[in-house]
Amino acid sequence: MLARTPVISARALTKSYGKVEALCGVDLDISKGEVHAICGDNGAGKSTLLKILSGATTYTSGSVLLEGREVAFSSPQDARDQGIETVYQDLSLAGDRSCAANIYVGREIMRPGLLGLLGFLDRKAMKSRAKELFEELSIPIIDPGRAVRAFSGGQRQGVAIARAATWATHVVLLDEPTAALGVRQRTAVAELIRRLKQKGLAVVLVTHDIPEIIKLADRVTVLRQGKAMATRLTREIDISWIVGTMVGQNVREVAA
Amino acid sequence: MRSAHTISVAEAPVRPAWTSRVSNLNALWITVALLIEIAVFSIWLPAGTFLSFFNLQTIAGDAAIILIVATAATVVILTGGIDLSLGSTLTLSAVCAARVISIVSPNSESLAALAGVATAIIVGIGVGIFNGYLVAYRKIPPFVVTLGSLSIGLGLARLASDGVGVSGAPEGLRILGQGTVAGVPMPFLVALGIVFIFAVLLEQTRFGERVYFMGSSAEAATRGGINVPSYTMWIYILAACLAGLAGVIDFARFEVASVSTGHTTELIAAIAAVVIGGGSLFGGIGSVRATAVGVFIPVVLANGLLIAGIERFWQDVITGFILVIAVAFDQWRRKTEALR
Repeated sequence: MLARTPVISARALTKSYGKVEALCGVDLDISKGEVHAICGDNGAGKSTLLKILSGATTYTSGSVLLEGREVAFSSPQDARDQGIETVYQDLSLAGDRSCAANIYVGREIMRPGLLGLLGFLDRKAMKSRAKELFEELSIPIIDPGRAVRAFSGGQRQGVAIARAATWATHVVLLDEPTAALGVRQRTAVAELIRRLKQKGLAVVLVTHDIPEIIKLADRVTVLRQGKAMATRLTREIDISWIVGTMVGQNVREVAA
Repeated sequence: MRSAHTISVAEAPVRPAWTSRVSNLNALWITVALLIEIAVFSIWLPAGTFLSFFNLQTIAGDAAIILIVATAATVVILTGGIDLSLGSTLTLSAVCAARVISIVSPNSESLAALAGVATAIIVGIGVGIFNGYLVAYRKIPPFVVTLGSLSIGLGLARLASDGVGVSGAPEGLRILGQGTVAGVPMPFLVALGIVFIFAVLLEQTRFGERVYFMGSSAEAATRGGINVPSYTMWIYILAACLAGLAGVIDFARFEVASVSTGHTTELIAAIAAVVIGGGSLFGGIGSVRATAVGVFIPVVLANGLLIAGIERFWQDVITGFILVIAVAFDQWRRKTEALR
């Protein structure tokens, strides 16, 4: 196992919607500089876990620890304020606005002095910083002043990940990041994820795509019927182990 | 194979910046259409009628009210909403202003003018809070809310005026409505000032950027930490205030607050101007500057037809057609843009 102290952890986390238990006692530890995949079949509890970690919903019992101290996010904004950024499957970009505007939405850079106090934006500063950011992450967008709509799916994914990379101080949550992409674009996203890792961020990858888990993640936690069945280093397992655990075949191994 | 068609992230953008191209295209379309319109009227109508100094003043005066209403319509449409009550708010605030003026006037003419303007703006704020609260916090579709407030506003205006126009503008207001600076009508100057202020507000400030952003994607805005309901509420209040201001200017210009039409022609011309200016009724796209140019298409047309001696009511028929044609043209253009 990785010997580092976890950035974010879940302890005996449960979430029930009326009588339905979406999560029943999940434990999870995610470390700095680690890509941690969470996988499971539909209804296994992946999206509930993601919603709790991103602040979109609260949990019923248990606890979430951020750098060892207990936290309860009241909203996605609260989670963002504490350094947790989410890249949603739909990317949450405004297609008609520029890449720079999308990166700085809600955290705009203002003009210095009186104009800034009057609410005037410093678009130039936002554009040039976005350009630096794209260069740093090797995202192939030359003009961040252009509308997001003008770019391809892979480039848009790049904008969404760049935004998370700019603002996250602890964790980036990625929801099915390559589901809508082609082969070459997937390679580019894999490269981006590696760079997030190099920045020392904890990356949580929620996905269906099992080959991708083996390729991108350091560790994987398999959820089944609201429980964390097992957590393994990806280099020690293979696709058939993940599939088996997802459908409940490796239960004996988990118990062992 | 799907993967054979996917575009590498290393490639250049799939197509050129969409928004800038559309607005360039749009500026060209509007200018061409407007020039054709002016050319047709100049040739068709007797010399010295359409292209006279007096008529240009009339066009500017007519455009003033619609410019203000169209600015209001633009900010609402940018959020993906619609305000059908702008015309009735204009009417209601004009009637209320005229009523208050007739009470204050005997004591002080200048105080009466101020009270009139204040009343119109307060009425605007009231209607704006009503519309904004229901749209933003009760999630009632803006079409329904503002259709309701259209009826409420017009009904109240007729009640407040006993169904007939209220007349009698004090001196101060007459300057606002009928004065000129270097031959340019005062209402037109006020309208240009409003267009300028709102263009700066929407294009240069954080408020404006967030309005565009939430119009383009309300969900992305919410996830970005923007309080979308609060911004929506402010937008409807601002729009109704502008309609109130337009109401008192209209009263100052004609010295009568008329309740017969409910100013639906102005409303329709304003919405048409937004679409002509490239605004999308789905929100996120459009600009106050482009709308301001778009205003002149229905205004010049109405003016020319009036000089030609065509029955005044044809104006409504034609303005309606312009609106529908503008939306149809816009949809066709977006479809062809998307296919490229």
